Amino acid sequence: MIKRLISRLIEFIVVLFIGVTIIFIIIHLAPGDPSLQFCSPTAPLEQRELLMHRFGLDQPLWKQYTIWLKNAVIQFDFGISFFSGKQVGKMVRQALSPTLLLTGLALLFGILAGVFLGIQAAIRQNKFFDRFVTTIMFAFYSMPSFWLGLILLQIFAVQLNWLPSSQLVSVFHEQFSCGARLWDYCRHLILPVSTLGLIFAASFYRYSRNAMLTALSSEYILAAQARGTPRNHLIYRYALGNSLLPLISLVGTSLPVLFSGALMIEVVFGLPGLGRLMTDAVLTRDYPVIVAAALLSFFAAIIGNLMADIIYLIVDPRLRHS
Amino acid sequence: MTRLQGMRHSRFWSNRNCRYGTIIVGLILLMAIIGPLFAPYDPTQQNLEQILQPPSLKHICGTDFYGRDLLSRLLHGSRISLGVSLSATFLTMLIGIVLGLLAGYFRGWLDKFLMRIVDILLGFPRLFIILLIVGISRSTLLMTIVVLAGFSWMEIARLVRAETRSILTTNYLMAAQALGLNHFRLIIAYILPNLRGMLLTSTNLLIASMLTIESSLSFLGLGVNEPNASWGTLLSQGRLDPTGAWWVALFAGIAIIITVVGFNLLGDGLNQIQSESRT
Amino acid sequence: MVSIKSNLNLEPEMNHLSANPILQVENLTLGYRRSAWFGTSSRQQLIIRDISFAIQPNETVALVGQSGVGKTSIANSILRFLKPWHGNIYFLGQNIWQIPASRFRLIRPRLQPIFQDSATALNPMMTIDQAIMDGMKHLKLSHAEAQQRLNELLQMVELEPALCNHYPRQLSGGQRQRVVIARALATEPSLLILDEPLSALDLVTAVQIIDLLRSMRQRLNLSCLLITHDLMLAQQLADRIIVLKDGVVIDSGPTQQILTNPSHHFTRQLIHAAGILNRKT
Repeated sequence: MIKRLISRLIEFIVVLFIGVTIIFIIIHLAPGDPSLQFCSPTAPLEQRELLMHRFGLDQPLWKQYTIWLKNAVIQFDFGISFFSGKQVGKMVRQALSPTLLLTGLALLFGILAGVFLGIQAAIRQNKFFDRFVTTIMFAFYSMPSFWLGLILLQIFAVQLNWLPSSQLVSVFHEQFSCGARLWDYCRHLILPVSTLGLIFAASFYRYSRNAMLTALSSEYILAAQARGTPRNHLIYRYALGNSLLPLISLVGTSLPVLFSGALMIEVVFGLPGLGRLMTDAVLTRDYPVIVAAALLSFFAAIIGNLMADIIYLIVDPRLRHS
Repeated sequence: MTRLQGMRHSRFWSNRNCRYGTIIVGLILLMAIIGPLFAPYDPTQQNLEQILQPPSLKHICGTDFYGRDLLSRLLHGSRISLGVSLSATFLTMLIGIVLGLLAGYFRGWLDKFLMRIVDILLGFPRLFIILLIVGISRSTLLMTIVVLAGFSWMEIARLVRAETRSILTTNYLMAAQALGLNHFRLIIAYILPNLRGMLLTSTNLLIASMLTIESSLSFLGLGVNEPNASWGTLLSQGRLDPTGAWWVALFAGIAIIITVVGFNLLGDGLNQIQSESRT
Repeated sequence: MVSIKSNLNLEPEMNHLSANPILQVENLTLGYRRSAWFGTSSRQQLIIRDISFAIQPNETVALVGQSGVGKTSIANSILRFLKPWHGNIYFLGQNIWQIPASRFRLIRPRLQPIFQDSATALNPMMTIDQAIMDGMKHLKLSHAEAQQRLNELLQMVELEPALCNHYPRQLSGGQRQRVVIARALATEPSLLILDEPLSALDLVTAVQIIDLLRSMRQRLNLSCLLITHDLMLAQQLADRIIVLKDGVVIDSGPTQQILTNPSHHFTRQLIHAAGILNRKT
């Protein structure tokens, strides 16, 4: 097991290195002169060269690459934003916590609701409850998350005006008391979290219902049934126990979603998260920010994958003893 | 032959998911093909006297910010939305099948190399990397399709590889090898036909997810550009107006959902048929 | 049957070898290396140790042993699917594990397996006429010639031509096994490897297939390697019997001698068991 962990870690570092290199290549393959972003094409050449120099774009490629490796990977320093002039590393780090808050809560909601409903529906297969919930969940599963967000926004924020429509906090947030601040956060997060949570729940629902149905129709369950095992015991001990393992791996594989799954939701609800930062930067062609956000999401995704593997290694008895 | 086809046909049709999926997908495709001919207005015709009209008899889905008829834009948009997702899916399947077959059939260093690439590319969060590429280059329709396919083929390649490897251990493939058939014949006549069920399923599920991603990109303003409009573009215009023009986003969204539901149903149904025939 | 001239250019070589065995196995040792994840540790398991035998033209040799003794591994090794650890396998005078794959492909069609489970031995997505035609690919026949040969083969294995465009799963087990035999014969083989050819069939069908195999062997001057756990089947078909136990040969000789005068007590057990079963049926 230790051996497997170590080889997994080595793999992780290799993937990290190659991924970073691929991002570097993509950036440099891109057509267009970034300096044109700041001055008109008719601007004097010296001015453009000054800009190129300031952003280190006049260095030879391999030097840019080593600088990139050192700055980006080790110090997570991406220089300053073309657009706002702020430190990019700081901007990205600041954007991380709203994203994690949103996706963390939504994932929690999605797993709890999805798995619970999935089990209940599997037990009542083909009854009204099962058909009803399955249909609803299939609709959520097929829905673009941002559309659901737009509709909820339209209903609860615009038409009913119960909840705020954008941002994480109100304008006068700083002046609120402690309890009111917490309430303020909650009010802003209800819509995005439930939107994303419903979308997540749909995936977990499909999965856990299928796993449960498979478990319930397997031979050992039928054998237990024939022995006269009580139904509840049958469902929660035998079937659930055996369908839980793949579920844990599903939760593991959805960990990368924590960082990248909320992109569209952040845009719709105007939350200052990583996805919003990325899209804004793409629209304004703010290269350092684009690169930093993409790189951070890449780091996060492969760390998520690594965590999923480790969790699975710990949980699955077959792997643990090998 | 006819008896067999009849049997398959009825098994396909008696599966509820397949039946409804086929009907929905059929209607949507029909709409994309002949719908624009029946569009009541020119989809790009601006009419500033009629901006943001709610749905009425004259404009069944209402009008947008520039007074363009939304039903007409929806009908025309279906060609773009479906065109982009179908061609991206086609390209994805092509890359995925070829590389998956190569890795699974020939194994060795080629397999290791290709699977390493798959691992690395799967590490990238798809939407972020697509945004990165679309963001730093000029986005065109072709570019969108290529980028979508370029970061989606890995799952297909993995599936095809795994399935190919399991077919390689079957008796019928060993018997075919013993006949002295060449690699090409083995792949074309013995492996590919047996991948069919799996490929049909994943094609449908892939079309559904391509449609979603394309609409996400267009929604962000990075996919299809004006004056053309995919359903995602129409959706994003719904966002421009928070004051209550709900119809702008609603109908485009419904069109996307119905289409995605159709392809998902078809994919799920095909998957069910396949797992039934295995047992 | 129209004799078809093979374009393999093996005829002179074969004439030259006519006194020599079709198949010769020398000191064959087989095993599996089971590698754990990432190849960090591997377990070796020996299956077959140092086996030698030869099959002469027109001869049928049976390899008899209990299930799991590695008989199928021997077959896989002769078919160049499983690389031996040691030893040589000569087929038509060629050392099949030493010659390059391209050269082996030329003689490969002359060495045909018939697997135990006919349900999995045919491509489920291919009609049976296509399957049999694939066995003639290397003969490079014209369309009409191939069609004629197909009909002859179907007649030979007693299958109705009407079944031609059926898929394997529309046939019964016996019919499928006949298709498998027809496909193997389509290649003009020199050696058939019959790996438990009857185990998936019911008794009545099994007897029919035994008769079919017997008559084929006589008509086409075939050599066969029969792999089975069933001594009675070996008695029906084989000229010589080789008994395997724990990866080594414990007994071998002409069928009659083995059955009447076994030298090893395990062979006696097998005969005893087969006798009991035989009395019951």
